[in-house]
Amino acid sequence: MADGSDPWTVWLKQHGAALVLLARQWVASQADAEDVVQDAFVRCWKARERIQDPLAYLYASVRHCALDWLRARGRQERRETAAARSEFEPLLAAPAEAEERRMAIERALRDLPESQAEVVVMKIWGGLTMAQIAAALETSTNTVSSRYRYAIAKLRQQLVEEPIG
Amino acid sequence: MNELDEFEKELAAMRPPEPSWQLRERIAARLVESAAPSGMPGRNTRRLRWAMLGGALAASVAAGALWLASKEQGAQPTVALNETRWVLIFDESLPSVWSFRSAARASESIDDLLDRHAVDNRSPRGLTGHVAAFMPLGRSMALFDVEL
Repeated sequence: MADGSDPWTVWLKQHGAALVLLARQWVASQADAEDVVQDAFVRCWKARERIQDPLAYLYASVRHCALDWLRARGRQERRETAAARSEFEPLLAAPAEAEERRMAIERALRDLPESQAEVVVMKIWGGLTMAQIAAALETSTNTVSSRYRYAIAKLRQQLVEEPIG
Repeated sequence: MNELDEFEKELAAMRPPEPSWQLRERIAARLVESAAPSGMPGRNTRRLRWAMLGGALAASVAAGALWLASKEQGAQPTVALNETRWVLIFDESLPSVWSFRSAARASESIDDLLDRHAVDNRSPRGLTGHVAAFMPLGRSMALFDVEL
């Protein structure tokens, strides 16, 4: 079934990594984030013919499912999960020579406010347009654009002393 | 805005890790499960059916209660109300709204009535005479001319 020939597998191949990265903004571990993505993906795939922009809806679904997941956990558990957020489960992959840089980028990304980090993830790794991000976040394109600008400026400022590459 | 600068390209070059193959398998299983026509209804369908059943049951109970209430109410002995018979007694010798309204249909009638009342309620000084409520047309016009 999942042999790569089904249309949904193309979707998953193109966006799976970015969707899991988006979910990990709220869900610490990769495994839990994949659970979130699974729920969102199935929900979105079943409704894809009824919705105007399936891709924006897919990212919005992952966001909603992740927030639901977070709400379902108690405050204590969330605190423990956040504390135990593993450095061994990197958000991004990089060649060995760029490991330091990757870690610096991850730290900077985690320091961003949620509203800015989600825009960066959708734009940089999801490849969504500003209009699609605005649709996913149910806000205006101008708001999304300004959040993105602020986020990139913060990331750049935080990483300015780090060597590129 | 769609063009990425060097810094954004550097970020984009660091790809997030690919999801595990188990995720793909689990999604495939879920999609197959949801697509297959199954004898077992989905959770939402079951909830809807239970809700409909509950609603129908509640409506039946309410209807039964109403029917019983109306039946009990019908079986109760009716309270015999004392019907008060109002008898209107008018003494036409007295001036009243009723008598004047009846008499007002004709000028002669009201004149007679006024005369009768005048006679009945004669003043101590013995003032009597014809009291006309409505002056004949010729006299009233003559009076009108004189006054002008």
